[in-house]
Amino acid sequence: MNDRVVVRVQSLSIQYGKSQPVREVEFECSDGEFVVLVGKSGSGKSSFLNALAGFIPYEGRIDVTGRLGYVFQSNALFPWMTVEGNIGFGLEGVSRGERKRRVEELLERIEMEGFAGRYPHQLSGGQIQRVALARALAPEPEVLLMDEPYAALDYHSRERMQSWLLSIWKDSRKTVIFVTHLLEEAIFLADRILVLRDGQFKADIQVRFARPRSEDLRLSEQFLDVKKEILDHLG
Amino acid sequence: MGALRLVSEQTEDGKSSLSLGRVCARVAPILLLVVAWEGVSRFGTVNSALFPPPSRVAVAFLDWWNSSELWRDFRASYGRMLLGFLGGGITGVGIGMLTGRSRLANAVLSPIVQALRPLPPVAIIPLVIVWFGIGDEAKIFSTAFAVFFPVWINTHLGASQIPVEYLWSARLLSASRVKVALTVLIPAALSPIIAGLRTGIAVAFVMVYVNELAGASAGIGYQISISLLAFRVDRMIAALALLAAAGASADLLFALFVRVSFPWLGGRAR
Repeated sequence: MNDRVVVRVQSLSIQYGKSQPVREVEFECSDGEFVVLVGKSGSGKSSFLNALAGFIPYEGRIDVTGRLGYVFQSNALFPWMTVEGNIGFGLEGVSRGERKRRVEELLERIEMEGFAGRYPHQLSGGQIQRVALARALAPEPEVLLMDEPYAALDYHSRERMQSWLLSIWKDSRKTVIFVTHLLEEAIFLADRILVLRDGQFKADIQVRFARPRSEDLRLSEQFLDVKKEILDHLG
Repeated sequence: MGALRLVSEQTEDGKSSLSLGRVCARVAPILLLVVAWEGVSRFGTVNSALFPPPSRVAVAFLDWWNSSELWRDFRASYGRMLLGFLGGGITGVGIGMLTGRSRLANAVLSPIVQALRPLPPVAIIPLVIVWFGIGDEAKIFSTAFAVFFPVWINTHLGASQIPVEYLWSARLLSASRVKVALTVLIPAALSPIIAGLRTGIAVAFVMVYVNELAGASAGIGYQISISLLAFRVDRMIAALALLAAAGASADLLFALFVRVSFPWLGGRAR
């Protein structure tokens, strides 16, 4: 991580009819940082992420350096394309050979060699999310946005995917902005946790656990201390 | 997908199985019906002139076959059905995608389509005959007109209900609107489009048949119409059987085409 700011948000507000899920929010994120946004359902976490990606209208100012990648929880892949088609979809302006080489490289990185010709319905939930990450990484974005990608997985798969994500992130060192409502997931993954409540960030918590992080961390006292701190801010 | 189960059954692991026992179980009730029909008609329970036995219908079918008129009639009806289906299908998908995805197109075109939709398509046949004459053009036009509506409504609904994640992913990953339209929008709306096209096939056969009754010099409907004048009930039933076989074959061919071309439709979209 370095101090170069890659995402800067000033006075961001989002309005849906009469409701305002995000109100006058300020936010900054440095290059290579892993930031996790936590909040209860309807707290505006996903709206914030969607505004960053430019998917929804907003008031205020958002500056993002470089290209964005996005990983969704549902409909994460195009079901009518094979794994190869999905990963290669965003690789534009490259030759067919180069495209194939890049897809193979990404498949190796997500440990799914031999799956190129499979369709999403032939994959498990965890495999779908691995391919979704590869698809988002393919065009080499500077910033990766992830909206509760593992929330639909069972407990064990989710923990495995979190460790796997950290191992991928360690090599790529992309800036990640990750949304979740699961506090253990947030603490295990994050450099920094932002607590969103009533449309505003109520806390900015630095998570100083050494990396690489082991599964034992989840059972440590310090881990529980961070969880208590977040719970206090969630109200 | 229900549409594909006509071709074969899907087992839990997604593979097809069409066992001999299952085929027999499906054919047996039909054979039983044919045998009962033969008995009832042959032994005078009903008037065999009005209700000829299947053996006589089979002879009428062979006569029709040997006269070379059968192929002429089959080709004429199938050709009209196919051209009308393609005309209505392509227009329905095109306009449905436009009205489903573009607010402007929806505001301009949907009121016109909705105003025409309640019209029973067979009711336009006399008007179309006045416009195009008694030839194939009129039959193909009115068939295309009838096919258009179920295809349009299904495509419109499918295109307007594409999950937002597909659209957002496409927007981030590709700069080409043409690529997104062809490789994301149409496939994302494909399930309802296929349902609409399948209804369109059935509608096309109805329209071809009614058109041929209204005036034709060849076709299965024409054959039924002249058999009525000659009081050849056996030939009428043979023609009806061919009409049913033509409809079923078109439906099965379409289901097979879908299965081969879009293997991912057999799975659950995630």
